Amino acid sequence: MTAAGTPRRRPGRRPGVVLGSCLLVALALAAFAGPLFLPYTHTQQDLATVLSAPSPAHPLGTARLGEDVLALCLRGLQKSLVIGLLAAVLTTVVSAVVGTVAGYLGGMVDRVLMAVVDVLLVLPPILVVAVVSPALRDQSWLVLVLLIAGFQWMLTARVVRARARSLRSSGYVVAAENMGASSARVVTRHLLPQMAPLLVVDCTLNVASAVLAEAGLSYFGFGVQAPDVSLGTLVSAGTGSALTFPWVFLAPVGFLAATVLAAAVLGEGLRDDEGAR
Amino acid sequence: MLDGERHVALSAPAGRARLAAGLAGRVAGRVALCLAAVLLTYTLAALSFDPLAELRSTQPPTPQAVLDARAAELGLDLPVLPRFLRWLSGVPAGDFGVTVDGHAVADEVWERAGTSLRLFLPGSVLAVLLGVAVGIWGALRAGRWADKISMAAALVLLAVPVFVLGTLLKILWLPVNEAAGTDLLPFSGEKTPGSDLAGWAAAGDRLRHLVLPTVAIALPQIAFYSRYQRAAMLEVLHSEFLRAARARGLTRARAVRRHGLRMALIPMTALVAFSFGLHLAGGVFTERIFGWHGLGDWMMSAIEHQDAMVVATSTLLMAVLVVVVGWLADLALVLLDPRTRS
Repeated sequence: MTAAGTPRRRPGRRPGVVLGSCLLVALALAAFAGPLFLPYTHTQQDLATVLSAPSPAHPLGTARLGEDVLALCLRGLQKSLVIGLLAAVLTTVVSAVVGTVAGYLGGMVDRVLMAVVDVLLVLPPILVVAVVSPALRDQSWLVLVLLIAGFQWMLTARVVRARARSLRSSGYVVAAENMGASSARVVTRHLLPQMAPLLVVDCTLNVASAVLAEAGLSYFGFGVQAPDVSLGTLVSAGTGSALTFPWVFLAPVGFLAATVLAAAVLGEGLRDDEGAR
Repeated sequence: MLDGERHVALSAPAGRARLAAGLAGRVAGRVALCLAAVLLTYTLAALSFDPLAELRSTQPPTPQAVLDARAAELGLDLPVLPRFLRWLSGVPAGDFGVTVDGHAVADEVWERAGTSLRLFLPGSVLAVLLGVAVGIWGALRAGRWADKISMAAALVLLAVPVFVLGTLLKILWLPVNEAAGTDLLPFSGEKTPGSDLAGWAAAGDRLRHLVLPTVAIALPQIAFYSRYQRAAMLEVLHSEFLRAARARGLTRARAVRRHGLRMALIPMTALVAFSFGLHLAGGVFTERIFGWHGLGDWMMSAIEHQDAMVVATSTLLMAVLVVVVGWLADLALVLLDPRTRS
């Protein structure tokens, strides 16, 4: 499709894509491989150096019980990354299915599904999740993933629906219908593959919002529960002493912001690429 | 197209009636959505909460008769839907039910709502205005350093949750308060507790309490709106009708002011209407960080105390606010876009 002489920019060329993916990979490596190179685990208490400022022995200082802040942050980053990635993938699957079904079938199905979307968008989703989470406090963190995804799919579903509606009358969809393809086949074999780039973009951006959602819920005690730690619980624990021992607060904040920023920059870069095509 | 349609008459009474009917229809739709959202939240709360847990765990144990009486008072013997309808039927008369510890919800609700409005509205209005201004300014300077820096700043701001931003503001401002030897901008509450200030002094005291939380509420929203406004304005700047206006001899500034601005603002009305609910979460967080006892703070502690009626009441008032803002956005759209009037 590219006109001769106008080289198409490859996805890797956008500064945002390069920067975002490098930062994400670096963070993931640090989270999962980093702890192996640290002399302490995140639970190890050094009661002789409680709440000490950053030093060569503890590059990000120590926390309330003398735990190494860097080890805590890496452990929290692990949980936040896993929750964020799983929730984002689940969000994208739900919104892809709901969006294509609503957009392709139209009519009553479309109206009902979009009414559900509208109702869920009236209030901040995080408040609705907060309402149910105390009852699920003793469950595993996988339930948290389900909750975050369950209240985050609506915006992407709307975008997917709009795209599906515009594709509904395109030549290859009509051709498939005329050859007798069922609705299920049209959706899975023709519409979803066509929307794959869009879904990849939204999935990346959803990682950013899922990590933020996890942090918000954990911050108010509705998310990850002790003894598990996530960036949200660490920020929450650090807030109390943010004015006196700032490193306990700033370190997890830095990791949190870097993760969200990396996912957002990568997503935006990919979107620009997709839009340019 | 623009000049032709701008004169399409709103003057005919029939047109005005149709417009009013259209607006009323959208309001009815929004009210239905708002009730559905409150029903959803109430159902989730009623099914997952155990409001008697605190009473049951007292030492010495609460007598069974007291537990039963409290259960009956809270309507726990009814299924969820009738319980919701009973609660809702009292609302028009100002009866919002009872809290788990037996007080009337109505005693506290208006004070809470007032606090929330005083906190959230100034920041949000400021954010919409500044977000639009920054977005347009950035689009007019697209590609220059100032634009690049403001866009990068917006991305960073959106990567920092509100509860972090609030605390960061405190850390940054602390040295100033310490240097001044007094709380120039206080970190907590709506006013200095126990003070007997009056008149201008009291207003100044409230204003000083308002500054930091307003910044915390406004900054992420400014970042959010400015990114969309910039994209919308860029699209308009590259549009045919603006080129046509330039071809007629208008200067760039005049073409942008007379024709471009209006078109670039139109998509913002829909954006404000649908994203307002999302920004409310920021308000809830800000209330907690800065110790304002508004609706969001109330709802959070109601979840901790397993209090479904307080959750429903605060949800209802937030949803009403969302409906009102949606209606204002519709009104702005009608004012901006002549095509919606014909």
